[in-house]
Amino acid sequence: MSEKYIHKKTLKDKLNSPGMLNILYVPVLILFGTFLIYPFFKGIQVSFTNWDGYSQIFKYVGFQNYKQMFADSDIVTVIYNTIVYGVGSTLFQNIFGLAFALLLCRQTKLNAVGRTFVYLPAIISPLIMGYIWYFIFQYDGGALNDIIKLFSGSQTNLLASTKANVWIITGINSFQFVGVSMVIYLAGLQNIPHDYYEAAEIDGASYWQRFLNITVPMLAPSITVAVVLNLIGGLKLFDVIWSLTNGGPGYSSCSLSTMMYQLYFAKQEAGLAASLGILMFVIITIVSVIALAGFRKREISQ
Amino acid sequence: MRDRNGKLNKILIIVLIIFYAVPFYILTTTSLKKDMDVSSKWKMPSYLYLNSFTNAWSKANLGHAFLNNIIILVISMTALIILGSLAAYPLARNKSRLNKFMYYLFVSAMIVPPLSILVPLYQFYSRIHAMNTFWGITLIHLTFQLPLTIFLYTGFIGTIPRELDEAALIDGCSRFGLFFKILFPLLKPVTATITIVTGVNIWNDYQFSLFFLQKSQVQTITVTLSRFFGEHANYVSWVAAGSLLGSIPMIIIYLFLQKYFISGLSSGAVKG
Amino acid sequence: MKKGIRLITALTAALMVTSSSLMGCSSSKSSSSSTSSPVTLSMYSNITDVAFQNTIKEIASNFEKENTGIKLDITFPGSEYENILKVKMASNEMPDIFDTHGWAQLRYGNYLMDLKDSSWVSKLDSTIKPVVTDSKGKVYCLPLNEAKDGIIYNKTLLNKYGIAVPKTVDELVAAAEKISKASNGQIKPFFLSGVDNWMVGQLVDVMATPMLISAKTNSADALLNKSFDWSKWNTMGDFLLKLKNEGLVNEDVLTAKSTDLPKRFAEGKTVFCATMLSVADDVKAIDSSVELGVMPAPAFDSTDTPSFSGGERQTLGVWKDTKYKEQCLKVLDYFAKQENQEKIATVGKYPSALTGISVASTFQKDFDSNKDTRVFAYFDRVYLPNGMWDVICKNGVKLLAGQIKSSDYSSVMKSEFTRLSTK
Repeated sequence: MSEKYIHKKTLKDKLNSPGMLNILYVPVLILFGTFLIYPFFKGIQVSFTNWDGYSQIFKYVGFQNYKQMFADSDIVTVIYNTIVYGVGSTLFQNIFGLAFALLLCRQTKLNAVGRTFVYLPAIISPLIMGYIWYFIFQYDGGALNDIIKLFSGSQTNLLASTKANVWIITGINSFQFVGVSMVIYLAGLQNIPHDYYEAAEIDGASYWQRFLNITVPMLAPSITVAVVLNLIGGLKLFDVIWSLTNGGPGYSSCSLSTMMYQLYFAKQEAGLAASLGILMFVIITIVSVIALAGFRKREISQ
Repeated sequence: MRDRNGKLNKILIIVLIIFYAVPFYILTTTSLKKDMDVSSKWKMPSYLYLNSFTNAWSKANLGHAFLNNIIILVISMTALIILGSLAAYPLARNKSRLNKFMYYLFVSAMIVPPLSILVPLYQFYSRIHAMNTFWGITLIHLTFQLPLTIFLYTGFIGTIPRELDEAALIDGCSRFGLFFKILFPLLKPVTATITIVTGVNIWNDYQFSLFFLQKSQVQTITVTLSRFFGEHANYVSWVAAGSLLGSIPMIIIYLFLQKYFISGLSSGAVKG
Repeated sequence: MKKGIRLITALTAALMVTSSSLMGCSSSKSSSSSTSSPVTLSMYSNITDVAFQNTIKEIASNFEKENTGIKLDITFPGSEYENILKVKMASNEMPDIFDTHGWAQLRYGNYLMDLKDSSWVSKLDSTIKPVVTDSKGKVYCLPLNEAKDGIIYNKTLLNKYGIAVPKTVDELVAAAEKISKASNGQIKPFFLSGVDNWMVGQLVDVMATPMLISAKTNSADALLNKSFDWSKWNTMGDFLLKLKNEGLVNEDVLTAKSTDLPKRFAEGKTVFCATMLSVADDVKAIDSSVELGVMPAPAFDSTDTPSFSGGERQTLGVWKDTKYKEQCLKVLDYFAKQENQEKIATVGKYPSALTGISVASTFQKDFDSNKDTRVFAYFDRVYLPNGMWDVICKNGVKLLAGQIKSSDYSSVMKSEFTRLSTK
C-alpha cells in the first residue's frame, strides 16, 4: 500500500513540476508558428527574387536586392529617420508618461478627467487622428495657421520642411501616444505600497528622495515595459507618418515601415520591399533585445 | 507647503487637459458646422446642426460596422486574455533557458512588419476559406496582440512575490490551480491595461481588416469610414462627424476601465 | 482549483460555440457551376464617385431582374482598390469581374479572359481598340468609358480675366502669369499635390505627349527601340521648376492633398489642374456658379497642335479562371447595351468607348469644340515600362521640393527605364 502511495506522488509531482507548466504556452506557439514564422520565412524567400507583388512568376536574383538596398541613398536617410522616430519617441513618451502618471495618480475627479484627455488621442484610430492633424496643420485654414496668422500675419507650412518634418512627426507621435506609457506607469505605481512612502516621510525624506529611492526602483518593471514598447512602436512607426506626409516629400520623412509599403505597392518591387523588411526586423530586434536585456538586469539588481 | 504643491498640481493638470482637449475640440467644431461654413476651426458654430452625424451614420453604414466591431472585439479580447495570461505564467515563473528563449521569441513577434506576412497569409486564408469571417480575423488579431499581452503579463506576474505561490502549494494547490486562485485576481490592473491597449489596437485595426474583411456585411468601422472619407473628402463636417461616432465606444470603455487602474486592489496582497 | 478548471472549460466551450456559429454565419462559396442554380458573381471596381457607383449598382440590379439566376455582389474599395487587387492577384483569387482602369494589358493581362467573341467588340471605337486588343487579337476588357484627359481649367476665371484657352505652353504660362499679376499674387494658377503625388504624375504624363510624341519630329520611335536621349527630359523638369519658381503653383504644394482641390477651384484660387473630370461634381456642390472646362494639353512647339491623352478609364474585365464564364460574359454584354452606356457616359463624364453613343454631359461642349483634336494613348502606358509611374511621381515631387535638379530627374528616369525594361 505504501508503494502505491509513492507512485501516485511521483506522477502528481511530475504534473506539478514547473516544467509541466510550459504546456500552457503551446497553443500560442502553434499560432505563431502558422501565422507568423512560416509566412515570415516565405518573406525571406521573396527577398531573393525580383517579384513585383502580383504576378504568378518571378526570378531568383540572389543578393541583388540587398546590394541595391545598401547602395541607395534614400535608404540611408530612411534608416536615420527610423532611429529618430524610435529613440526620440521613446525619450519623450517615457519622460512625459511618467510625469503625467505621477501628476494624475490620485482618485480625484480632476485627475480622472486629466487621465481621460491625455489618453484620448491614443484611443482614436490613427486614421482619424490623421484627419485631425490635417485640420490643425493644413496650410490654408488649418487651426495652427489661424493662430500664427493672428500673431505674425504669415502662414507656415511645417511639414514641408524636409529637415524638420521628421522631428515634428516624432513630436506628434509622442503627443498622441504618451497616454500608453502613462497607463503603464499608473498600473505600476499602483503596486507600490503606501507604507513605504509613509515610512520614508516619517524619516524626513524629501519628495525627490522618495521619488528616487522608492518610486523609481519599484517601477523598474514598468520602465522596462514602457521603454521596450515605445522603442518597438517608434521604430515600426507607420500610421502617423502615412496620414501626415505619406513619407514625403520624396522619401524624406519615410520610416522603414512606410518605405517598405511604398516599395511593395507603389514601386511594385516586392523583392526589395522584403529585403527592407528583413533589415527592419534585424535592426528593431537588436535594439529591443539590448534594451530589454539591459533593463531587465536593472530590474533584478533593484 | 503641501497646499502650494496641491494648487500647482491643479494648475498643471488643467493646462494639460486644455492642451490635450484641442484635437478633440477641433474635431467637434468641424463636425457641428454646416458644409459651406468655412469659419476658423477654433470657432464653435452659433447654430445647432446635427445633420453631419446622421449623414455619416447612414452613408458610412456605421450601425452595421459597430456591430461587427463589437463582436470581433469581445471574441478577440476573451481569447487574448485567456491565452496570454496562461502563456505568461510559465514564462514568468519558470525561468529555464528554454523559457527565456520562448519569451524573446514571443516578444520579437511584435517586430514582424505586418506587410511581410500579408500576402502569404492572404493566400493561406483564401485556401482555408477564412476570408471575410470573424474567426479568421480573430486569429490574426490574436497573432498580433499576443506578443504585447504576454510581454505585459510576464512583466507583472514577475512583480508578484513567489512566496504567495509557495504558500498556495503548501496548502495543497496544484501549480495550475494556483494560477486561477492566486495570480489571476492580482493581475486586475494589468489586465485592465491590456484590455485598453490591445482593445484599442483591435478596434482601430485598419491594415488587416481592409484585406481580410472586404465584404460590406463584415466591414469594420475603420474600413467603412475610410471608404466614406474617400467618397466625401469634400464634406469635412461629415468626415469629422463620422470620426467622432467611430471613436465614442472606445472612449466609453476607457472611462469604465479607469477605475480598475486606480482601484488599489493589488497592494493588498503585497502588504500581507 | 476545480473551480478554476471548470471556469476555463466553460470559457473555452463558450468560445468554441460562438466561433463555430460564426463560421456558419460566414459567407460560403457557392459550388454549383451549372446555369440553372442561383449564381453569385463578385464584381470589383475602383470608382469612387458616389453618383457613378449608384449608376453601376442600378444597372446591376436591372440585370439581376432580367436574369433571375445571377446575382451581382459589387464591392467599391475606394482608394485601396489597386493594393487589394495586387494581393488578390498574388493569391490567384480574383473577383469574377473587375475594373482594369488603364492597366488591362500591362498589369492585369495574365489574369484576364479573352473577350474577342463578344458582340460589342465590333463597336469599339478606333482610339480604344488598339489599347484593349493585343497583337494576337485578344480583347482584354469592355471599356465602360474612354479617357480624354488634358488640363482642367477654371472657365469662370479665364472669362473673368479675358483669356482665351491656351494652345501652346508659352500661352499657358503667359495666361498663368497674367492672372497671377492681376490678382497681386493672390491666385496661384496651378494646383499640384505633393502628398497625393499622382497629381504631379498626371500633369507630367499629359504634357509628355506634346513634349515628346505629338510634334512632327518626335521621340516615339527612339523610346520604343530604347535609343531615346534622356537629356530631352530636362524640358519637363524645367517646365515644372519654371512654374514653381515664378510662384505659379500653390504655396502648399508639398503638403496639400488632392481633396483640397474642389474648394480651391470653387473659391477661384486655382485656374489649372491636371486631374480627373469627376472633380466637376465636387466643385458644383460647393459653388454651382463656377464652371470648369477641359482643354487638351498645349503644344510645346508652335508648329504643333494640342492633344488629349486617351485610353482606358473605367472598364470591366473577366477573370480567366472564373467558374462562371457564360454568366460573366452576359453581364458585360448588358453593360455594353446602348441605354446603359448612355447612363454611364452621363454620370461618368468621360465619353463612351463604343461608337454611336453620345450624351450631353458636363464637358460635352469642350469635347465637341475639340472634335478634331488628336487623341494619343497615355504616354506612360505606351512608351514606359511597367513600374515607371511611381518614379515619375516621386521624383517630380522631389524636384518641386528642391531635392533634385532637372538633370537629376532625367537621369533617374533613364536609369529606372533601363532597369525596368530589362526585367
